Formats: sequence, C-alpha cells, structure tokens
Amino acid sequence: MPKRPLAPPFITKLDDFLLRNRPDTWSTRFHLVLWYWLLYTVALTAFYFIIPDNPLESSNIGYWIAGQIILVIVGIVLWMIYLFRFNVFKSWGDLKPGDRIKTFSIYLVTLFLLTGTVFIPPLIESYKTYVRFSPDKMIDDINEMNVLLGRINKVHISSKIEPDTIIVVDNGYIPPATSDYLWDDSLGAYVRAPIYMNRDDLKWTLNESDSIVWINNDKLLRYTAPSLQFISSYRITDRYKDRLYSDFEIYNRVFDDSQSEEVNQLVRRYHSIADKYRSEDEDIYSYYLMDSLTDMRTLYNVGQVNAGIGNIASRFFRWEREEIAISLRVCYYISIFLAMSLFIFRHSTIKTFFLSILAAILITIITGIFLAFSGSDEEGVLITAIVYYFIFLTVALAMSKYPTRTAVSGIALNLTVLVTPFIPILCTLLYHQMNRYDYYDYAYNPYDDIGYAETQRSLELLHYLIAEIMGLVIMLILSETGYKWLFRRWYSAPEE
Amino acid sequence: MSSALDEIRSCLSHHDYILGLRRILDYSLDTNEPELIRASIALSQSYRNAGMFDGNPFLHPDLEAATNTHLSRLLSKESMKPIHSGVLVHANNISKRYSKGNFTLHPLTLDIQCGQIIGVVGENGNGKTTLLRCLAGQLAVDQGSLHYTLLQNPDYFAVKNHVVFIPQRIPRWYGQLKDNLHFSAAVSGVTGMWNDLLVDFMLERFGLTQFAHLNWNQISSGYRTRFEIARILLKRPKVLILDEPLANLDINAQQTLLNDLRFLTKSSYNPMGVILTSQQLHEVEKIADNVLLIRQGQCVFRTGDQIQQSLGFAFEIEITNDRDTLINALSGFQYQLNFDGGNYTITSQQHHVHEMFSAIVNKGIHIRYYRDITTSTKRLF
Repeated sequence: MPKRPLAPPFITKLDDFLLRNRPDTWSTRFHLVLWYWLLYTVALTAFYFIIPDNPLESSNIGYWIAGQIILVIVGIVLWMIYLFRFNVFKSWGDLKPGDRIKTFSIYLVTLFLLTGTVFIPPLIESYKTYVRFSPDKMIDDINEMNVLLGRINKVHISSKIEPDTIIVVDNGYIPPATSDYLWDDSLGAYVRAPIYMNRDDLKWTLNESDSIVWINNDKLLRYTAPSLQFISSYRITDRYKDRLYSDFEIYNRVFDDSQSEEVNQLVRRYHSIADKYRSEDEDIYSYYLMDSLTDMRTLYNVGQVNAGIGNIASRFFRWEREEIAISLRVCYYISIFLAMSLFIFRHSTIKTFFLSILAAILITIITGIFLAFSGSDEEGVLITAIVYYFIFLTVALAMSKYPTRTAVSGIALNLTVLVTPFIPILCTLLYHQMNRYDYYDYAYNPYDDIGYAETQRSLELLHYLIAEIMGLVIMLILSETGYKWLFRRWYSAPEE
Repeated sequence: MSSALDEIRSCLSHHDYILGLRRILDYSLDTNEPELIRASIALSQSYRNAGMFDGNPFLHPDLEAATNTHLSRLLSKESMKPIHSGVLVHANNISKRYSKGNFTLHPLTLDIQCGQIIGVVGENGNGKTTLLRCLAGQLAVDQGSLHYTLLQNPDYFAVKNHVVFIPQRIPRWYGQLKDNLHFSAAVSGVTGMWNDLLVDFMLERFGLTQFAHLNWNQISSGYRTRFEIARILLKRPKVLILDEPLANLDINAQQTLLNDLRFLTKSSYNPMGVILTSQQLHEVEKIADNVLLIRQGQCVFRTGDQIQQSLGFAFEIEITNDRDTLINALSGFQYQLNFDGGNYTITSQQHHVHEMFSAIVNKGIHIRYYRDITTSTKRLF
C-alpha cells in the first residue's frame, strides 16, 4: 500500500481490509476522508484559536468563511478525484443488499462533515468571546451603565412623566390629528392632544405602557417613561428583554433619592465599566440617541460602547436555535444535492449525466419563462416541480422496457432520482401555501393572536422537518429497491 | 497430474524456467489448496530473484531441491474437478444492423464451448468487433437469440458479469496496479485471504510482480494488456472475449499470451470459453480450436469446413532465387503460382505440399521462409 502522508498504521490497515473485503465502502474512501477531515478540523481549530480577534470590533469572519468555503470545495474535488477511480456498480460488481443505502449515507455524511467545517471559524470566534465576556455580566453592566448615565444626566430628564390621553373608538373612525397640543379650557393650559385608537389595537398599547389609568370605558391615560436605554443593542434586547431594565425601571432608579453620589464619582464608575466595551467603531444608531442629550455620544462614548456591545452580541448570539437550524439546513441541502448528484453519477454514463444536467438547466429556464409569462405564483412553481417529477418517473418506467439504453430514458431516470428527496418537502410547502389563505379566513387576522400564529408556525416547521426526513428515508428505500432495479437495467442494457 | 508434472520437469530440464514455473503456478491453482498456491508463488519468486528468468541456465542446487520437493507435494494432490463444462454461449442466427451506417452482420450461429478458444479473423471493418460486442451484450441483436447456458433468465447486468469483454483499447485505470487487482477480485466476491492470494498469484503468473506498485503511466501498453487480462481473470468470467489482444504485444509476448490463454481456458479452477479477434492469423490458428473468417459481415469460412478439399493444397515460400528458378524446380507439377511482392503462394489440386516442397529443396533453392497454408484462412484473404 502507498504510504499516505500523516496516516497512522491503523488507517493503512483499515484501508487494506476494506479494499480486500468491502470494496464498495473502500471505493468511497470514507475512512481516509474522515481521518484527514479530523486532522484538518484540529489544525483549523488551532489556527483560529491562535489568530487574534478583538470581540469589540466588527467581525471579519465573513472573509474567513469565504476562504473556508473555497477550501471545502477543494477538499470535495480532491475527494471526488479519488472516489471516481473505482466503482463497484460499473464494474458489474457484487453489490449486497444495503450496500447502496450505506454508500449513499457515506456520501451524505462526508459532504455534511466537509461543508460543516465552514462553521468552525465562527464557532471558535464565539467561544473566544465567551471566554472573555459573559452574557450575564454584560446584561448587568448594561443595566448599570444606563442607570449611571441617567443619574449623570438627571438634570436633563424631567422628573414628571406626562401621560398620553387615549380615546378608544369602536366604529373604526379615527379623526385625523391636527396638532400635538390642544388648549384645555378646564386647565387653562395646553395639553397633549388625545390619541384615538381602535379597541382591537389596544392590546399592544396596554402591554407596552408603563402605567395605565382608565378614566372611563372609552378614555384612558397612558404613562410611558422617556427613553433611557442609552446603552443597548437590538441583538440583546430581543433576547434579554426580561432582564434588561426597561425605561421605566431605569427612570425609577435614576430618581431613587436614596442614592446620592457625586456626578464625578458616577462618571468614574461609568467609565470603569464602559471602557471594557468600548470599540473603535461607532454604532450609527447612537447618533440619533436622546434628542436632548446628544452630547452623551461624545462625552460618554455611548456610540462606541454600543458598537462594542453589538459586536460582542453578534458573536454570542449567532448560535441561537433558529440560526443553528438554518445553518444545519444550508449544510443539509448542499450535502444532499451533491450526494444525489454523486449517486447519479456513479450509476450513470458520463455522457448521460452531463446531458441530464443540461436538460435540467434547459427545463428550468423554459419553465421559468413560461411561469413568468403566465403570472404564476408560488403554488404554480411548486405544482410544476411536482408534475415534472411524475413525468420523469413515468418516462423512466415506460422506457425501462426498451431493449437498448437510450439517453432519454437515462436523463428521465437521473432527474427522477435527483428530485426524489425533495418531493415530500415540495408537497408540504404546497400544502401550507394553499392553506395559508385558510388561516386568514379562519379569523379576520389570526396573526394578531400571537399564540395562534406561533402554534401554526411551529406546526408548519414540524411538518417541514418531517417532510425533510421523509424525503431522505424515501430516497434511501428507493435506492435499494426501485431505483436499484431501474439503474441496473438501464446501465447494463446494450448501447444500440 | 503426473503427465502435467512430467511436462513441467521437461521444461525445467531444458532450462525453460519461465514456462515451467507458469505451469507449476497453473497446476497449483487447479488444486485449490492455498498452501500449495502460496508455495508456488514463492518458488516462482525465488527463480526470478535467482535470475533464472533472465537467461541464467545454472539452477542452484537448493532451488532445484526446493522445486523437486514442491513438485512432489503437487503430485500428491488431486486437481479439483472443473465446475462446469459444455456449451457456455449458444448464438443462434444472430444478426445486427447499425441504425447509422449501412453495415450489417449477417445471421451467424455459433457455440462457445467451455475450454475452447475461437479465433475470429477478417479484414478491418468486416464485423469482427460487432460480433464480439453482440456476444458480450454490448449490442442488441436484431434477430436470432443468445443463450447463456449457465445463467437462468439473466438480465444484461448478470450477462456482463458472466461474459467479459476486453476491448482493443484498454480503458484507462487509476491508482496502483495492485490496488486495481485487489478491487477487481473483491467486487467479484473474492475476499479475505483468497483475495491476497489470488492477486499475488496473478501478479506472478503474468510477470507483473515488479510492477505491482506502478500506475497506468508507468507501464507499457503490453503490460497494460497483461494487467487487464489478470484483472479480468480475477473476476472468474465464464466467457472471455478479447478484441485484438495481440495488437499491443511484441512477438514473444504474443506467443506467451496465446499459450497462457490455451492453458487458462482449460484450467480446473475456472474453465472458460474464449473468443478473440486478431490479425495474427498463424498465431491464432495455432491455439484456436475453431477459426471463423468474417467478410463483409458474413462468416465465409470456419475450420472444419474442409477447405483443403475445395481449394486444394497450398503453401507460402520466400526464396532468394529468382522466379524462373522456382518455376524450373516445379516443372512437372500442376500448380498455380502467385507472388505478392514478398512471398510466393503455390496452390495445387493434385499434388501434396510436401511433394512440391521436396522438389524445391532438391533443386538447391535457398528457402528463407516456408509455411503450409492448406488449412489456413490466410489463403482466403
């Protein structure tokens, strides 16, 4: 056996064993890919640990990911060079039951692992940020900085919260606003103009207000503290809404008279915390912070602190459940598409494989033009894709009886197989697309009911997940049954 | 087995070590005993290492003793019984017409027997390869039928596993030669210890041991042909179809290959039927049990058709003297004389070849080349 660089003796022994006993597995070079992938992953991880990264500055991870994608492509190409050297099926070999499932799974897992290395740089970057900062401490610091900034600028903040008067209407008619302030004869002074609001829209307002005083059934006073969240980042407020001080809580602490500290002391305390988070960048949104207190940006570096916190948060929170689900799906779809292409290539002639790709491109272009001119919506696109699958399947089945191997039957078979794992998800997408309008029919606007909308969305996501798993399972089953028979018959048939 | 061993002893005593060791390897394979096969491989390697295959005529006493011991062990073993015999492929009136072009292979009936070699000869573009590809299941026949007697209701996949076709241009392979052999054996179900053993056997049997770790670019086209045959034999095909296998080989290699085919087809380990095409008429005729001549898609002759009865006796001769001297020597004979610029072809309905040849020799004509082609397809070209 050749001496493979960096391969330990057990890999060589395994290679020898597989070559002599499991040629189908050996030909995939799974063991070698796995070993070199492991080495590469370790080296890559070490490299990203070594390279310096300041979490306070905006991340340049995009460049590293781009580089990583190129390396992954190179890795996949290298693997395929070795993979294409040996083929049990095309050698009229002795494939045992389950071999196709095993081989396809190997393709999928290998591609998934290779594409997955793209996530190593951001993962290490996040880990390094976690080592230096912790979300809990950062939340505490943000709260403290906001209270300190409020106290430092206490003189600029009104100690009295002016309420808004809200008049609730049931008939849907909202008179146009003429001015922000109106003359009140009873008070002999200008007061804020009342806000008219539909009763249906009141729920959100009630939730967002700091205090409500009902005057009568149709009129209420809404108290909302002024914006005092000087230090903030949308990435954090979205996730730690309950732990971050609201404007009202900051307001209460600012005007808590039991706290008496000199402004200089407060400023020193503020800077001792803020300097930990100060970035060279400046958060653009901080320019618009607190109309009357814009000097805070220059005096207390609020923009730079917000930028630093935003940069840290971007490193922290890229691994939330939804982000992970999206990342995994991206990896999965790239992997399964490549695995399908590989599976087809391994069972088809080179000429027919490339003709199939050409046919797929042409069909997509022609169908796209047709759908564009016919003004078709998403449903039309999905229905077309599903119909195409059944056309390809019918042609492949019908032509399997032909005594010779034709390019048309090969293309139909290849495209049928290629689309198979995506059929359940296409059907599920179509189902939800068709029923989405029914949700609207069910109630006037059910998405106003957050609970209902979330339930529907969760259900929809679960359906998609089941459809994706089903697609893979169906493909694996068919690879050992129907498609096995069709490929065997097609590939071995006489050429003319 | 004892006659086979006598043949081996004869080869060794006459310093034909390469041939002798090949026969030892063949006979050890026929015993199906791993230990004997391994010992034969080791013996052959010892001969190689001692330079016996490179013209060294002096056999070292230790090696001679080892050979005798090994031959005694071989003698004590019985050859395994052939696993099959009889007709392997029956082609009944098969014909083929290409959709593009106007070539037609006219109806032809043919049986490929186990242990038999069929040679197919003919000029280029006359249908030899078409016939082979039909038999191999690469082309669908338009009429007639093909019956593979050892297979029950086979699909083409099974047929292509059963009947192996080696084209004239051997498809490129990748990686090391040895890996390819291991792979080829493993995909045919030869795994574990037998995989290693048979690969080593084939490497030694076809003189490829020194090239085991080389790749496609590092070996000559002749060795590629040897490799391809070794690779195919590891798959234990029942019918071997070779299209112009001699095209890339030198004269010695051609002879070796044809001899190898003759022995391997009759092997007890894996008896086969072989059909091959070649332009080397005389070489093919020497080893083929049956020769077919294809002309314009039709089988115009096959051995056993009593060509001599219809066309008379014939021989080719090349002499240094002029034509008049030759005519003078053959005065008194009734014959036809043709000259192709190099050789004279002399044909006679009445006189045997040896009579006319004796007359030429007796006249003191200097003969550079002679061949009796009375029963050869050569005279039909």
